[in-house]
Amino acid sequence: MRTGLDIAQSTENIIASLSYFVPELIISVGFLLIILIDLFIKRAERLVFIASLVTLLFAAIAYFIQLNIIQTNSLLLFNGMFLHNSYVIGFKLLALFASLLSLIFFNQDRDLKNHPKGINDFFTIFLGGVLGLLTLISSANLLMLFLSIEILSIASYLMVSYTNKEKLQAEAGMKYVLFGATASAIMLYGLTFLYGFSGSLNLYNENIFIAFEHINSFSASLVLLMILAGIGFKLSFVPFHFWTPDAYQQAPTSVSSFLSTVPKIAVFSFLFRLAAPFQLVSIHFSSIILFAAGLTMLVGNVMAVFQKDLKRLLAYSSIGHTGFLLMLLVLPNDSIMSSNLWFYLFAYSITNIGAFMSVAVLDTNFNVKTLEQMKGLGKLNTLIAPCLVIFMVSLTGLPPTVGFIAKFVVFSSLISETTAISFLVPILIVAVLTTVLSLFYYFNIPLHIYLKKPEGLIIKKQKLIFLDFIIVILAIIVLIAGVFPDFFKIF
Amino acid sequence: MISLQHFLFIAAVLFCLGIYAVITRKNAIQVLIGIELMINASILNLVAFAKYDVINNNGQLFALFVIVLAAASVAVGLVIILNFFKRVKTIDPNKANSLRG
Repeated sequence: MRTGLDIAQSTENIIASLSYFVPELIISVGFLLIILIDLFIKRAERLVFIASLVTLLFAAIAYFIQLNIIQTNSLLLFNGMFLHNSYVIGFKLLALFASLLSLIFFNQDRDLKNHPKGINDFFTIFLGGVLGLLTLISSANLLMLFLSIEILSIASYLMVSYTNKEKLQAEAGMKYVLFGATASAIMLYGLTFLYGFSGSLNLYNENIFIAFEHINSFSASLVLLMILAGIGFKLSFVPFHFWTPDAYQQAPTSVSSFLSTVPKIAVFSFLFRLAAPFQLVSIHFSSIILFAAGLTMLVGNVMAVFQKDLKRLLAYSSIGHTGFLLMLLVLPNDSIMSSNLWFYLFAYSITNIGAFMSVAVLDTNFNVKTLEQMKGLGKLNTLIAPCLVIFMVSLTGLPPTVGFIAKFVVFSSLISETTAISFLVPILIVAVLTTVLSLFYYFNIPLHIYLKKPEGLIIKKQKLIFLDFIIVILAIIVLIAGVFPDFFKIF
Repeated sequence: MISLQHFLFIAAVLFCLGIYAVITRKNAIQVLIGIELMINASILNLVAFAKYDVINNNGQLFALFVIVLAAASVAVGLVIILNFFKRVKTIDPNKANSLRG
């Protein structure tokens, strides 16, 4: 048996790779630093927040520098563990941007702030999760893929269960962890067969997927299904969506906002990068994905119509958006398509984070948790209520918001491919119908806010907090990006 | 002579037992044991396949990482189950059915 690389060569590769790995190193250092600050300094809430903010900002700056000096061809770092090109860095920047917004949101969240043990441990877990996200986006090896997904999962379990004073929160946390651990165990079993059939852990080895020509299509599809079980749990597509509404409803609003956007950015960018090779593994890949997409859109949007709780409604709406994005995976993998995926994820992230922020502010100020309680809110709150309406318009996908541009781009690129891919036409019809259906529940919110009479709304003293400022900025970005979308396309 | 098939067969049996435990057990700790069985099946697979890898010890290395990660996620799982037990006084996942819809 021959060895792949000799030790001198691989050491040289590792040392050469370090310079491309600076942002991840910054986050690791920040992670360790926060643990130390928390240990040695008392009442360090503000310091820990600033330290994590600075860590994320430095990492973002490092990625910006990398994006500007990058060469066109892809590099493999650390003996084939990571991929390094402009596609990867673009998505990492997006994930970092959404994480920054989430970090500010965590700091303002009432549930987390009132936690008896403080919020410092939470920031440590969060930074660990962000590290997992970034390595997931660039992973080029099965080991790295599994490692990143597990880091991300363990961080999310802890974040959902961080505040569990009540019975229901503990219940949601337990469902999440048991379901998640099962899903990742199934994914691991699938990954071992991918390793066994191809004989290599490296996903960017030219020969790896050619080996699948000799495997019969049933077992190849089974392997893919197992891998998609673990990935589908993170993306919460049907039939792996059961945890989503419970976890989103019971977790602190900021955590729901984080879970509904940032892991999806990472997993989608990874899956899109591998869609073409996976099509080589099994000819049924497109059909499986399209079937899951149709089912996810139907279940997410239909169930959302019956929801009374605002966070549960947003959870089902995010399931619907996942189904919509899944359709993009069957398209040919080129730079225009990845730019479209980037833009859709950008639009979805800012809109969804903005919507969750508005819900959190309304909850803090007016104790509003359900649609019924929102009646007549527009007269009491003249700042956040219009912003929430803008976010709802954008989530539906109507002009002049960013959601419209994103949906339009996706539809137009899918329509041009209808002849090449079977099953695409019925799924597109489902997409159009569910978009119409989504009007019912998204516009229920403006309907309750503005057109219904208030009933026993408790008016608390309203304090303008920093979060209001962020919400207004996000609403303005949603409108501007809807009119000038090219301005926001960074690659 | 023990061939690759024997290893794969034992791993498949372990995996199915694990799934069976996850679905049927009425005790969250036993569900975690089931998950552990599934992970161990994957570890066995990895080590068995590693013999045929062009690069030495790749699969064994993966297996070591998996063992560590499994320990970490079981630790987190146990903490969360313990917390559930404190609030509800049971660890039967079937009793965790207050959230619906």
